[in-house]
Amino acid sequence: MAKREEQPNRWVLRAMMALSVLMALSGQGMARRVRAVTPYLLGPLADMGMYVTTAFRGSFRGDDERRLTLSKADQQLLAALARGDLAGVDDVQLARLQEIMDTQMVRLARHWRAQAESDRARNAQLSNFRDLFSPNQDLSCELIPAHVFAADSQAYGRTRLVNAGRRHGAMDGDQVTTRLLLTNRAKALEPHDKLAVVTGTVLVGRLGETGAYTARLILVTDRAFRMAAQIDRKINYDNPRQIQVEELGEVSEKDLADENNAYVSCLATGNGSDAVIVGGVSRDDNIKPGDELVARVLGTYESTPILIGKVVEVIDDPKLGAGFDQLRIEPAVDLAALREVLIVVPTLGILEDDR
Amino acid sequence: MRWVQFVILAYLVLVVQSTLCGMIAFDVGAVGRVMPDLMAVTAVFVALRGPNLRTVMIAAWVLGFAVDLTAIGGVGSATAVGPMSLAYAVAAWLIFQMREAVFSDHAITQGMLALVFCLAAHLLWVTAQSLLRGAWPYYGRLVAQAAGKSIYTALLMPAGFWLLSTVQGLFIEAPVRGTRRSRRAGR
Repeated sequence: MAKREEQPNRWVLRAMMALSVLMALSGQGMARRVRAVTPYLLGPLADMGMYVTTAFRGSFRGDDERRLTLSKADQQLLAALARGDLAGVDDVQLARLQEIMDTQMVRLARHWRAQAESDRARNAQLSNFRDLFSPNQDLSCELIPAHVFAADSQAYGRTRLVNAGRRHGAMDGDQVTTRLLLTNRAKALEPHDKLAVVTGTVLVGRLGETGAYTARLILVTDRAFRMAAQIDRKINYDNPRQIQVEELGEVSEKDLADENNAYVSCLATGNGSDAVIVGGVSRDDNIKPGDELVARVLGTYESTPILIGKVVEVIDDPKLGAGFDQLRIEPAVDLAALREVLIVVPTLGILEDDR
Repeated sequence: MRWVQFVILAYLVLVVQSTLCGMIAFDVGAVGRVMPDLMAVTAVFVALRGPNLRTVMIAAWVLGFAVDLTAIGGVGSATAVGPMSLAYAVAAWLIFQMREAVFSDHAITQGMLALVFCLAAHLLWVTAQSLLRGAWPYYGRLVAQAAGKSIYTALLMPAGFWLLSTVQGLFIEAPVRGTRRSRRAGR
């Protein structure tokens, strides 16, 4: 005869509840120590899962313009056109044929435009990498390659776990950029034959809670992300925007041009969702959608900027009111598909405040 | 309860939650990112099928603690460890009290129970974290996010319940009927 399952000792449950309360009240230090074991527990299984997830999310980027759904009748019509046999085609079918051709033209134009934009971005990424990290650039930093192997289990935070930590040289506050692995080097680097096999020119976040072999990457869209950044205004030479310029103590309105296009300093914070928010930007700076948010490698100022994202919306700053704008910035990379990253570790001493 | 098997199951669900769940997460405008809470699905299942209240609450505490370890951000700084394990245990207590009053094999009931569990657990967690970490500026959005997450989890609950039912024997011992004499004696 089987025995009825007995209830566990009541003190077990009470001890567990008390432990929760104690840990909750004990602050960040305890939380950090307890969480330090998590990456090792998640380990290889999570790595496989993350590989599948990032590959899945990455496969949904920007090729839907190429697809055109055609009915069977449409396909027969196109086949007739290809054969040059339009004898039995009536006016209605001809009009439909015209419509299909127009649609295809528009879709192809969109596709090629998107393709050109993507090639331009890739080219910029490759060139920018040379500007940032090549030996002739006086920028003393070490790049640690790492990959993302797990994410925040709840959607409240936008953080990732990466497989590099203090033993690899990474520290809390280090900047993290994208890493493009070039599997076909000869083909990918044709115009840039002296480049390394990785690029890293889009800032995706900073490190927090760095352990011995792993670290937590706080993405630029996380609410805990805060960083001094700059806005790079794009000049439209055909229709230049007006900005306020101060010269010799006099303020005047001038067209934005190369000689007066200084970077606009600001503080970037994550909005906890899918964007970076920059508040308190003076309306005199006349920031517009399409301008870029960039950061500098820590411990440097006049180095090549690292792109964070593009301004997509400019609204009145709800905190500061009239005269100030709040910007919404869309990250330059799809953070959901982020897999390979580079941790940028400045090798010159930097101020602790910079981190 | 077969605790070793249960911990292995909790680990596997946690891995799926931390990795593959990203595939079905989506951004909802100002609310933020919404994804289901598979740990909550497991906790509701255990609350409905577990042998007794204390076992159910301990199991929910374990699941909540796993979530505590892996849910870091969202309140403007790193979150405190502990509130989610407490919140899961309390929410499991709530579901255990309700389980005699509902027909838990019905998909809609399962979804509703998951909604209640998630709302209770996540609202408690959001409130506790806001108190502990001073995240009141984000409170409204966190509550909206918790509500979105609860609805999403409720929608997936019937499928999760069915999946867990197929492996239930691995981590929950089969219910044992008492002898006629012990039943008569109320034991």
